[in-house]
This record gives sequence, C-alpha cells and structure tokens, in this order.
Amino acid sequence: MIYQIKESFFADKIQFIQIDKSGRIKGTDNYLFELKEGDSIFELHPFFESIPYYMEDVKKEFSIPCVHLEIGKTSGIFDVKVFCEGEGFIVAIFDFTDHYKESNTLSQEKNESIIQTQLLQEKEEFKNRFLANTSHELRTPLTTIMGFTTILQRSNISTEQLHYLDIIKSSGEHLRNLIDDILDISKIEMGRLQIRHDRFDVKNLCQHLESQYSLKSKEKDVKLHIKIDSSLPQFLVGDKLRLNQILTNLLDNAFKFTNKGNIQLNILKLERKSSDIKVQFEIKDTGLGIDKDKIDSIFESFIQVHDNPLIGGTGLGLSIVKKLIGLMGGRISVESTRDVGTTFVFSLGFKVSSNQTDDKIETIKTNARTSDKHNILVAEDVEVNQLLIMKILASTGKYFVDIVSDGDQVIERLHQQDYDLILMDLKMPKMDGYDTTRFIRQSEIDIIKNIPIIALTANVSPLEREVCLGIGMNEYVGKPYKEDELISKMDNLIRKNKANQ
Amino acid sequence: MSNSKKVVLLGHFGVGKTSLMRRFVENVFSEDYKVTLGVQIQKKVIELSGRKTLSMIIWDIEGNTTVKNTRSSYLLGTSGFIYVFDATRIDTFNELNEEIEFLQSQYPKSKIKTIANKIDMVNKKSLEDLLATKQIKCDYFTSAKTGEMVNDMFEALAKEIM
Ligand SMILES: Nc1nc2c(ncn2[C@@H]2O[C@H](COP(=O)(O)OP(=O)(O)OP(=O)(O)O)[C@@H](O)[C@H]2O)c(=O)[nH]1
Ligand SMILES: [Mg+2]
Repeated sequence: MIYQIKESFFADKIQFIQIDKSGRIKGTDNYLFELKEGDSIFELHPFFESIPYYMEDVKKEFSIPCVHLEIGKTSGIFDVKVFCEGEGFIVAIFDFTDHYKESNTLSQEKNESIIQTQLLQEKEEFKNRFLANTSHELRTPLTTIMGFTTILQRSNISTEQLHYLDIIKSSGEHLRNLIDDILDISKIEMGRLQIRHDRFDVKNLCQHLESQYSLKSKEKDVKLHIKIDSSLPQFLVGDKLRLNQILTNLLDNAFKFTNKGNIQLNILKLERKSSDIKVQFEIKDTGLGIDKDKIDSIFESFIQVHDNPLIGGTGLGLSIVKKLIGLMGGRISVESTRDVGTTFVFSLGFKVSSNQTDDKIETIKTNARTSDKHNILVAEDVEVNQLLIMKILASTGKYFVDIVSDGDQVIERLHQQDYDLILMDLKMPKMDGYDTTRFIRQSEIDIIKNIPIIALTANVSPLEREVCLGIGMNEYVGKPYKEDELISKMDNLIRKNKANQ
Repeated sequence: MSNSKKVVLLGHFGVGKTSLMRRFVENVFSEDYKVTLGVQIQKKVIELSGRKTLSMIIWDIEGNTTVKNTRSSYLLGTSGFIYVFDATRIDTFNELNEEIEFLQSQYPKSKIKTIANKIDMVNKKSLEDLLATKQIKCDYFTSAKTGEMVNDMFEALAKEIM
C-alpha cells in the first residue's frame, strides 16, 4: 500500500530513459518529457551529448544536480543520474524545479549584495591608490620649489623681494600640509598607517599647543584655555604624534570658525584599570557652529560645511581626525549650535608610563612630518654650494631639505624638527662643523645624539678623514660631489640608523 | 558525434559567464543580472578551416568563489575550461593563479583559458599593469556587452581541443 502511495507521489517527478551508446532512445516512461523510442536523445538537448564524455572519468554511474533542461514544451530544473547498463545507459531525471526556484531568489539577493559591496570597495581602493600616488608625485616638484626658495631667501635681494619669497614659502608649506593630509587619508584607508606606542609628556604637549597657537590667539583675539585633570598622570604611552595631529586639526578648525570668545581644550581622566587609562579630550569653541542637517557629514572627506570661500582648508582635517581616532580605538562625537559654538569630544585609551619622572624626553616637534620621505638638514654657508647640494637632492625627489648656514642654526633646527641625516660643511661661521658635531654627539636626546652626519669638504686628506670619523661623524664626502656616491651613502646611513632605533 | 566537445565556463558569480555564452551562441546581451543556478547548457557548431566542424557543448555553471567548492560532477569529462574573471572586481581574480593551478592539477588533460571580461568598463592598459604586478597571465580580454574578442576566444579554444 505504502509503496503505491509513494509511487504515485513521485510518478510525475521522475523519468527513466534507456539509451544506447549513440544516444538512441530504447525505452522511456515519459512521466516528464514526451520522448519517442528510436529518436536520438543527443538531438533533444545538448546536455545529453556530454554523457559519453563522463565515461572517461567515471566508470559506472554519476549524478549531476541542478541541470536546466528544455525539451519540447517542458522545461525546468532537474537532478540527473546516469547508470551504465550493458552497452548503453539508464538516465534518471528528477524534477526539482520548485525546490530550486525557491533557492534562486536567495542566491540572487546574496550575489547582488556581494557584488555591490565589492564594487564599492573597488572604487574606494582606486581612489586611495590614485590619491596616494598623486600626492607622492606632487611632493617632488614642491620640494624643489621650496628648496630653491630657501636658497633665494639667503641671496642678496631686496626687502620687497624677500617679502614675496615669504609668501611663496608659506603657500608652499600650506600646500605641503594639504598633500600630507591627503596622503595620510589614503594611507589610513588602505590600512597602511601604524599606530606607535611611545612614552610622552601630556603637560609638555599642552604647553606646546599653547605656544603654537599664541600668535593666532593674539591675532584673532580669541583665547585658548587648556585644562588638564590634576589626577591624570603626566607621562603616558601612546602615539603622541598622531594625538598631536588630532588636537592640532581640531584646534585649527576651532580657530578658523571662531571670531570672538574663547576656545577650550579640556583633558579629563575617565577611568583607570592598573596601567590602562582612558582619557577624554574636549575641544569647545564659541564660533559659528554647524547646522543640524550638516553635522552628520562633517567627518566625510572633501566636505566643507561652510561654503564661505574665505574660510579655506582641504576639508580633510576632520576626516583625518575621525579616522585616526578610530584607528586608535576611540570615537569622536560633536555637538553644535549655530552662532553659539561647537564642542568635539573624544576619548582614547593609553598606558600609564611606569616612569613618571621628568627625565630626558623628546619634546613634541611642531611640524613633525609624517611622510615616508627623509628629512635632510644641510649645513653649508656658501651659496653656490647650497645650490649644488639642493640640485642633487631635489633631482631624486626622495628628500625634504632644510638649509642652514652655521652650527648654531643646526642645533636650533634639531630641537624643532626630527631629521634623518645632516650634511655638514666643516668650515662655517660661528660654530664650525667639528664643534657642532661634538655638541650633537653629547646631546641628552637620543634622536639628536644618534643622527647620522656626513661631512662635506673641499680637500680630502686622510688626516681630515681621521679627524671627522674620530669626533663622531659617520661618513665623509669630498667636493665635487659625485651624485650617486652621495645619495647611496646617505641612504645607507639613514637605513642603518632607522634599524637601530 | 566524435566532433563534439564539452567546454565549461567557470569563475566567480556575476563575472559574465552566462553573458559570454549567450553572446557567442545567440549573439544577444542583457544588462540584467540573473543568477545562474546549477548549470545551463547550450551548443554551437563552429566551422574550422578545411571544412572541419566542431560542436561545442558549452556548460555555463553557477558562479563560485573557488574551484574547490565547485561540484566536480560539472567539471568531469571537459576538454576545455574557460576561467572568467571580472575586470572591474579584483576579488574575482585575486587568487587566480592558485585557482588555475588547482584546476590544472585536477584535470591535467584539459585546456584552460583565462579571460578578463567586462573590458568595456576598464582601461585595458591599467588592467594589464595590475595583472603584471600580480603575475597573472590572461589569454583574452573580452566584453560580452560589445562582443569584443568573444568569438575569437571561443574559436581559438575550439582549435586547440579539436
Ligand atoms: N559592461 C559589461 N557588463 C557585463 C559584461 N558581461 C556581463 N555583464 C553584466 O554583468 C552581470 C552578470 O553577468 P552574468 O553573465 O549573469 O554573470 P555570470 O558569471 O553568469 O553570473 P553567475 O551566473 O551568478 O555566476 C550582468 O548584469 C551583465 O549584464 C560585459 O562584458 N560588459
Ligand atoms: Mg550565469
């Protein structure tokens, strides 16, 4: 009884067909398709034509699920099983059209959404690759412009011309910052930016910000108040450069949009679990404020909320801020009322340094460049020589170059900015190359003390060479400089020094 | 019947396998994406030089992110594989070399062609550069939409598997 029910249940779902090797139909029950004995099944649908090929790979039987078949008026989706039978085959066809159609909708939706996401990612990737490449390319000519501007500034020109050069220089610096911003963004988005963990001094960082903004504060008559929670440990471990970048971006932003009143930076200890500490930063201004409908988009790249052309900027600052904070495991939020002011709040996790004493620690350099180019300091007092070095370095496109003309300036610059290498002329006014080197090698600050120094000199004598290396210079290059030799010596030293850090 | 051969189109989903087959067999193209479930089979008789013909039985199978997950019952008895990727989506060719290697090792007797489809949507030069950096060799750059290189690709394969 049960067999009969089962049979009637499947009757219109399964068809058995017997064929010979050449595809001729020898028998068929025609439950699904109307077939005629004697016809070639190969002519009815190309699927069947592939059956003999399977015999090369399988011996007795095989099944192929989910095959679309259309024969005469009947079409659908079937599972097919083939058995070898004597000189031919038995083909069993199971109708699963309903079942497969159901899963079809699911696959359709799933695939469409995956493709959509992939295409979006692709666009994003492309944009970032493009930005990273272009901004890199832009820097090479800019370095040349800046370098030669510096040389011009030191040449014999009128006060008025000097003033024009100042404008060129500050515009150039602005451009360089924008390019660095763009590069940063694309690096963050491509996941190529590493967060560092260095010990740093919170108080010092704030003092630095205060002095950095003192001029702006006076100019605009907008006061900057920085308040640090007294229970916050002074020395933390984290990425001070990036923290400084975040705060600078937010403060720049605050100063840009605030014309009266004040700006506050409040730093608060949120919670501390053994050496883990959570710190909240609040930047509050009494500026223009942001409209409610625009507040959600302010963290997007290239969006400027104020369409006022006088208020410049890339529109990248806040986007970088958000991405950096995200990268450091934090979140930023903003509240704003038009014409009342804006408050940005974010919190970040740090480690409390086990050493809370104020021993030698690097100060935060104002314009620490975060690029992958090398920063070179050239100490050389003769203008033609400056020009020569500048030409060589600029042509490679690998370096940021600053030029100074005596030893005192070298020391001053080293405390303002991290350099990767010094090219030092030996004969200079005030402090000469020898004394400057001795001074550097006795520095309390590791980065300065260990900086690679290459001596530049006119007459190469073995004795002078001995002296140079003896007082702690790393290399020695004679004039006229051989470009390749100079560059390869520079790169070697920079690499070695980085490896030792 | 000895002059018919089985050819399989495979690759990630949405790369244009169905579109390539339909362009080749029916000379049509649709912008709509209709996912393929299982396998659909079409046949086209190709005239080769010297009055020889080959009927190509083309298996257009459902997309799969890797050959390893593809039902082997679809792949058995195949003379030529056409591995299609989508020139606009890196994810569809990131692992291409491993895929081809695997296919070659499982079906050593079969010919394999690698195809970059949707070439109408990208800059061919930059795609070639990108492929070069990934050390990917690609046999044909096709577009099911414009028909570019579609016939050439199928016919070249036909000659090889004759
Ligand atoms: N512009 C362009 N679009 C194409 C081309 N080939 C396919 N498409 C489009 O890409 C989508 C997917 O094409 P299909 O042929 O269905 O892709 P498939 O590889 O068969 O996909 P699955 O069956 O899911 O594996 C459709 O929207 C097509 O219109 C091409 O050469 N150029
Ligand atoms: Mg398809």
